Amino acid sequence: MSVATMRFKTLLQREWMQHRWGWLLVMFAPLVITLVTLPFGGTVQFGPNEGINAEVAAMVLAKSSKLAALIWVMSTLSVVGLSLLAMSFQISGLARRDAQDRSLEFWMSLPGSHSEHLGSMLLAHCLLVPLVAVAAGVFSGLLIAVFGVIKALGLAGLMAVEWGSVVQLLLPALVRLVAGLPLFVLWALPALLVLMVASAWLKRWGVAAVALGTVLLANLPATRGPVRVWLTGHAEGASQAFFISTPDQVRAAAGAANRVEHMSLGEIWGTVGADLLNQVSNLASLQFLSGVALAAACFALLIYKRKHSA
Amino acid sequence: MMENLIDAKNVSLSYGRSKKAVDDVSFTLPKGRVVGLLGHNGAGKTSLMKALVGLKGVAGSLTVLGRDPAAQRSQLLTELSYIPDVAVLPRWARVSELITLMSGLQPNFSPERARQLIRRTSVGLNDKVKTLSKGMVVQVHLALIAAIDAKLMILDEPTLGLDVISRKGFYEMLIDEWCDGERSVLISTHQVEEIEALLTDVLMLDEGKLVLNLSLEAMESRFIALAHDPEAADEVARAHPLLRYRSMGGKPAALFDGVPPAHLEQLGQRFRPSLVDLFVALTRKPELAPRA
Amino acid sequence: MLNNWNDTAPIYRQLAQQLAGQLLDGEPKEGQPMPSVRQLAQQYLINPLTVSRALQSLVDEGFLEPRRGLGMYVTEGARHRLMQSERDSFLREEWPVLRERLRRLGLTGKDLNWENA
Repeated sequence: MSVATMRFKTLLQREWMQHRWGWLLVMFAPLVITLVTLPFGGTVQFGPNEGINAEVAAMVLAKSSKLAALIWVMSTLSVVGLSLLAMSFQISGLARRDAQDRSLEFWMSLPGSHSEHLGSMLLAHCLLVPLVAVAAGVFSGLLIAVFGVIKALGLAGLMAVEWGSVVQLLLPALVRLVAGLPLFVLWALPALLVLMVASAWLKRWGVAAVALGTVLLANLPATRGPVRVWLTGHAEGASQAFFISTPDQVRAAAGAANRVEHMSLGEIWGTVGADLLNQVSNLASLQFLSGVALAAACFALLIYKRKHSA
Repeated sequence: MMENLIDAKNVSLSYGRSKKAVDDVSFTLPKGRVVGLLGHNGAGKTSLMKALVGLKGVAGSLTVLGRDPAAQRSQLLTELSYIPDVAVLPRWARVSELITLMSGLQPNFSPERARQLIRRTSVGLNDKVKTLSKGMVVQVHLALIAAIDAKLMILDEPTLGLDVISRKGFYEMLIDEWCDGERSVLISTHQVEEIEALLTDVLMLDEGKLVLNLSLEAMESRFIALAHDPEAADEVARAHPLLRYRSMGGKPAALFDGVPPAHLEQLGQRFRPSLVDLFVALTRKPELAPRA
Repeated sequence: MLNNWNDTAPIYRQLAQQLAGQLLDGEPKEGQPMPSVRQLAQQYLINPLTVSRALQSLVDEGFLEPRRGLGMYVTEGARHRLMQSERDSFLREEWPVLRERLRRLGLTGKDLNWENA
């Protein structure tokens, strides 16, 4: 392993050492909360056509399998969503983390450039942790699904779940999620870095300043047009990259006028693949590249700020 | 192999447009030396050290271990160990975690050596930095830095906050580990008297300018102190010594740059001026530290 | 305090005098090696270069001799020569001052009784 690689790996290790408890807390809070509140509350009724029926109905599943799959997906998504949300709150403070606790001089007395420090921080918090959150979500989602099924349909219901089919059905969704996360992060990066830059310079008022600035720019007659277009463009790009969320999007990805309810497993995989390719090709747009440019500029500013804090 | 570990020519550093923190400083630092960097607060010691490790850019020519510090900071830092003046170890970390991190960042760091040195202190490897007292944090930091096999050690007030016993331990470790003729140490400190015997050379900064750059050996032959009776005071004053003060024995004394006039020598006795006296004389400000 | 060097002479000379004093006491004996530069530096908390200077001055005066690869050794007859040199120095410099003082105080050899002390 080269010295530089070792350094980068060590910097990632540093992020883990410093933040692991916060990360683990967020990732497993839903599980803990569910387990704790499970004994309470009444039973829940589920009809044959509840929730994201479209994806589930592709195979004729028993009610309990449908329920298990539903809970599993929702739990996984909530863990990932929570993790991303927590990250977005934390991200602005990260820019000033080392200067605040005065350890910046310690890090700067060791080999390691500012870009290595900032880069490893972003990689860990924005990409690696959400990916780990997916794994945590899948794991805790399974447990929550098990307990949820027991609560709604009793042990008999649990026995009736066809886990093999459930997994087969959910696997394409998982793959889509894992592949979509990095893309989502890339779309969200400009926004995150702008927040970091604002906080690095304005400290507490950074986030408020960005919010205010955005509202202003989106409403002033001179700038509202292009600004709104750009913002919506990025929001769309991000949400599309993340996960297929609406039946419309699924239909669009599926191409033909097939109703998703009647798609076979093979066709679902095909849809996922096509959609992913679509998302990747979206990266070649001016919209996305302008975001990358903005993100790069912010990164340079962060390096500058760090250099002059020592 | 290069002659000098540090080569500085007309180095200047300023913050903004105000006065220069380091003003046209030139010196060389060969290997095998322990150099004391003396100066009042604000004299430019910390700024100079930051320039040497590449944290601040400078005007003029500066080569450290054969490299341009500002341009090749990361590579330079693999062969150099540095303790900044207000360095604080990350409070969230355990000592063992710091050892792990340093092993990964600093290729010349020996984790086993670090553990050995830390075992000599009262700090446990599993302790969190935030639970340690200030003195213990300094001890840990010193131990970590000492475990780096570097050619040059740059220390900015390393013993601040340590009690006498810990300072002694640090000096012992310095001699044991470092004074082998191949490495050099640049150390700034207020405890001038304590460290005088350890030094081989002295650099004195006053308001950014280098007012003295001398080996202690040369110092002995160049600066001469004369203790005299109070009656001779006027006579002595007429010879314009660098400084007039009271020696340890309480007698009035005068410090001369070079040999004092012959007639004065008969009025008093020569003695060896301490580094503190010399410092006061050359910077003309109140004493650094009171006499022990 | 850590430093115990006075201002009478350069540190290396003071160290040399201390070491000479120990040689007089037979530490180490003639033909035996001196402690290494490193050991002495650690003991006295002095820079090894200064220690080397002190040892060198003892070599110049003939009390120590360097042996290649082995370090500094106390020369044969060093103790005797040291003794001589110290005696001469005492008789020449310190004794007259002391004798004058004794005279002033009216103390005689009998009062001092030093051989039984």
